[in-house]
Amino acid sequence: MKQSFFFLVIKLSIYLLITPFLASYVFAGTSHSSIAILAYGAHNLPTVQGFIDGFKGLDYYEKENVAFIFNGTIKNKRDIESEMKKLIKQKPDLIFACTTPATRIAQKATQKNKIPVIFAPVQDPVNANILKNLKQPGGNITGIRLTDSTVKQLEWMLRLAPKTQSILLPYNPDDKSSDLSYQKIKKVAKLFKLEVVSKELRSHKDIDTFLENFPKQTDGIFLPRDGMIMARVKDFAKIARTQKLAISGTRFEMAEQGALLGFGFSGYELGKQAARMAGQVLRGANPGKLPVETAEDYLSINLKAAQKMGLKIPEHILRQAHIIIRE
Amino acid sequence: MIQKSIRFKLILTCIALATIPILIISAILSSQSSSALKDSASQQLEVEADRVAIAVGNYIRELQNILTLTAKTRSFISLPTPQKKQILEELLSYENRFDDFKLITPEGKVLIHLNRVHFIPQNQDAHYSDLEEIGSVMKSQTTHFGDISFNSNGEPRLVMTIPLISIYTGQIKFILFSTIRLKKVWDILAELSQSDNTVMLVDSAGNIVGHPDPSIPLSRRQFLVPPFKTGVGVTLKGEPAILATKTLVYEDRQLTIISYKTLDKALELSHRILRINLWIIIPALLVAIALAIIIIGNIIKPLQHLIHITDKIQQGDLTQRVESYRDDEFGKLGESFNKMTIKLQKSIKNLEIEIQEKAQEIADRKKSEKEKAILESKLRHSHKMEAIGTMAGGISHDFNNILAIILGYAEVASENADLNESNKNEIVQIIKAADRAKQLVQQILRFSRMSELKKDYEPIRLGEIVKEVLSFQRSITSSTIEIRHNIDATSYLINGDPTQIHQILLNLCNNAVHALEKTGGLLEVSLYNCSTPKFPPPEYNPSIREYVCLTVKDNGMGIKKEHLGNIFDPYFTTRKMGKGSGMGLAVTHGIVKSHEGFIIVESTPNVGSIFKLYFPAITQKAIGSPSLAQETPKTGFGNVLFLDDESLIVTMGKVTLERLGYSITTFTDATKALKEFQSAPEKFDLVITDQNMPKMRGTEFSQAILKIRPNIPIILCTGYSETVTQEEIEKIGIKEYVLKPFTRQTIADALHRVLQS
Repeated sequence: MKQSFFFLVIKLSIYLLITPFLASYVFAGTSHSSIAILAYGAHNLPTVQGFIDGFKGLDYYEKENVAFIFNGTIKNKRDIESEMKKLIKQKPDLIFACTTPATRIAQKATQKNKIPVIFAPVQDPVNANILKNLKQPGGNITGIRLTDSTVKQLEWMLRLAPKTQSILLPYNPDDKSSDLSYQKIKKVAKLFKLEVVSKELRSHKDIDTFLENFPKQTDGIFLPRDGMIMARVKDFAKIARTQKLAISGTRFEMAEQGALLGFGFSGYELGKQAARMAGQVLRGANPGKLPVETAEDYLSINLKAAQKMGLKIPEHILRQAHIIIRE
Repeated sequence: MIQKSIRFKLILTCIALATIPILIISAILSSQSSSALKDSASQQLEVEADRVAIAVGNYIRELQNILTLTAKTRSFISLPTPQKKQILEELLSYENRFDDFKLITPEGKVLIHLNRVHFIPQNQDAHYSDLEEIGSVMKSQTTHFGDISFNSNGEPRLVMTIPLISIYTGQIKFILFSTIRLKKVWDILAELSQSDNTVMLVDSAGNIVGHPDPSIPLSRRQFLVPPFKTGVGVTLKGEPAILATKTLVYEDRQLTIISYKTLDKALELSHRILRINLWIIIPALLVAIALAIIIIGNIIKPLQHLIHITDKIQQGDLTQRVESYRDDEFGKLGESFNKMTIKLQKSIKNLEIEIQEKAQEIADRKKSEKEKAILESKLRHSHKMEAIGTMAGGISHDFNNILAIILGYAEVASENADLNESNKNEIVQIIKAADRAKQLVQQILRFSRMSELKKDYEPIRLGEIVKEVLSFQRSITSSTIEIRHNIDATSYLINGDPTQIHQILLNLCNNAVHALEKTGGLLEVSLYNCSTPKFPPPEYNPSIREYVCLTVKDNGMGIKKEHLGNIFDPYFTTRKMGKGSGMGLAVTHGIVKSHEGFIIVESTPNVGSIFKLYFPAITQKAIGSPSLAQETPKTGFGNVLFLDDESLIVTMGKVTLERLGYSITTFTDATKALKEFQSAPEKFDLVITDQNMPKMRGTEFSQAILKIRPNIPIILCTGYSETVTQEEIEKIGIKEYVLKPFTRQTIADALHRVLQS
């Protein structure tokens, strides 16, 4: 029993040795996380801000238990990949990808390292070949898609400017989301007895050139869900204002940026929604099992722009707007 | 084993004493707190489910009220369709909790169809397909709720149908279908869910239609509603949890609100108590172990020492003592143990002494018994010899008397002048024969030890004694043993006791005979002069140079080498019990030593032994050997009273003495002789009396005579002197002592000496 006694002492010693580890386990707090933000287009800043702010409500505080690796929005699509590589090198715990092109590059970059990716917004992740099943995305990716409200946006534009008979639709055919918007509008144009003049713009330079020589051939400008195009909403709004054209944007904030109306998601709210999903992933949820959520659409009307155009918007329509820009 | 039994038990006891109370308390606390926490959690969850039920109910009722108010105010029914559409558009945009509106006629024609996010092209011929639902509304004429469905985004929606009844006709004029977005309920659930609690909404089909985590309803997860109001079930992840259920009834439909909290979370406080107790138990355990080791070490150490000492004592080392300087029970135990050990040591010592004494006593007793046996043997031998001596004495007495007569008359006859030479020679032969007979009697008497009259050493010639002993030995020894003697006629005399020499020679011869008893052989006795041997024994006297060596040699079995050193020890014997006393050689050694001599023994097993007895030599002539040298007997005169109970002796004495010139008055009866002497004391000059007589002994007679006439010389004659000693004779006053059978010369010399004195 000496042996028993000896073994008893050994067992106690082992127990005492592992106790600190147990204690550290028992009293362990949340670990520090790093999140890389890959945002394409300056118009996505509200989304990024909403994403960062959204973490505050989830008990994640910057410089305390979460760090955001964000080098600013990416202006050119070709720069997304290089920015992604930079971010990957910093071995983030999660990547927040803004817009469809950014999401596709993030997905490609995380095929091996399986870093979770939360995207927002992506108009149609299935058509964009990002995932196949909205309820069960699979892999390391999930996020927020947009409501298929492109036609509704057009409807609202026509309700605010009922005399519109033709619209200019600038779009980037290389952007899946943009092309999809174009296809939808083109499809319903007849129904609205509307002429759609499309303009392929593949770069900001194209936009600049186009805006410099903007042809007055339509009654309005319809901005599709195109990251690059949306990033230039102010420029398009300026032309529209000059030429008294109705212009509709695909985001809620676009009325603030000079468009006659904005119908679509709120970037800030979308960012907060994405932050909630990212928080779930950081707490252990499998992104591949989190269903893709849908962004809420809101109507915003720039009454000032309407007045400059000489448009009188009926009261019952104004009452339907979530925000009215008056000044 | 002691460690296992006592140390181990004590350590366990200490640990148990230190930890069991804490364990019991913590178990009770944990149990009580678990129970309380469960109850508390159940109540909390129940309240939460109630609150959520109220909130969700309000949500639905509020939308129901909004829609009802919209439809019933501002004469909605009477308004044209475009105005109705405007109102519904405003409502749809303003209240984004609605997703869709349809206004249809009782016949099913769709008048207005609006969607919050999707463009719905106006179709004049559109008809509502679900006629069953229209029928239900028409029948009940009240608000009706349909099943919960999910849109393409995966959001759950509740269809609410309101009949628009004409105030004039009371008939249903329109039916307004609205789709309520339950997604907005998720925010309510998220807001109302307290930390660690989760509330979800489950429809009658088991679909989760509301959850703080949108991914749950979006995933179309289902949950089996438990049948109890509160209880323990499992979460969506399968974790055990406390659940509370609340049924929310709206019209003819119902939703179930399930509020739950995982058991881990619910019992967190209890687990924390357990963890705290664990943190208390660990130090307590450590302290208990440390104390146990110290205290038990203090207890066990003296015990181990005691066991060590006990082992030593068990091995026989009684000098071991317990070292204890403590003033407690162990110290007292040690002292008691030491006292016990000392007592035990003394007892054992006493016991050993007692055993030694007893052993000595037994040895002494055995020795005593042996000695007793020897003494008894000696006594028996002595008795035997006494009997022989008695017999020999008796015989010798008579024999001496006869010899005295023969010798006397032969001597008388030899003086007869008429005898020729041949006759004289024949008479001399008779005298010689009588003399030899006399010698034989003396030998018999000596062997029977009845003739030890002389105690002082005297010069003796050993040759005569050797012959005498061998002569006797030969008569009692088997013919298979040859007895030889080799006597140097020129050997010196020695100063000694013939009887003792007889004894030792007889002993040695007996031993030799015994050695030759089975095999037969040669017994050889030699006598010769010699000087000090080269290797004399330590006890020899260096001043003595010349010795007479008497050797007894046999070629028998010999003496074993290991026995040689003990043969002179008293009682040492190799013979069987009763065959030898073991005293023979011891006595021999003693006698030789008393003669200032020594013995050298040489012996080889199966070859033989030789005993060499060295006696200091003298040149003095030996005595005791009778001589037949013829001298002329001394004549004399005087009246002699001659008394002997043997008439032939009296006659022979009368003849012999009268021839010597004396006047002899003889008597055979002492009484008559005394009477005669008493009557005339002065008549006699000398009295010769025999000792052994029937009525009166010679000594008694002599005393009586000397009483009458004190100075009268008396010669006492006897052949058997057992009852009279030299001292007694001198004390009585007897002048001379003559042994029978005496010769004429002897008696003549005695008469002459007495009368001359």
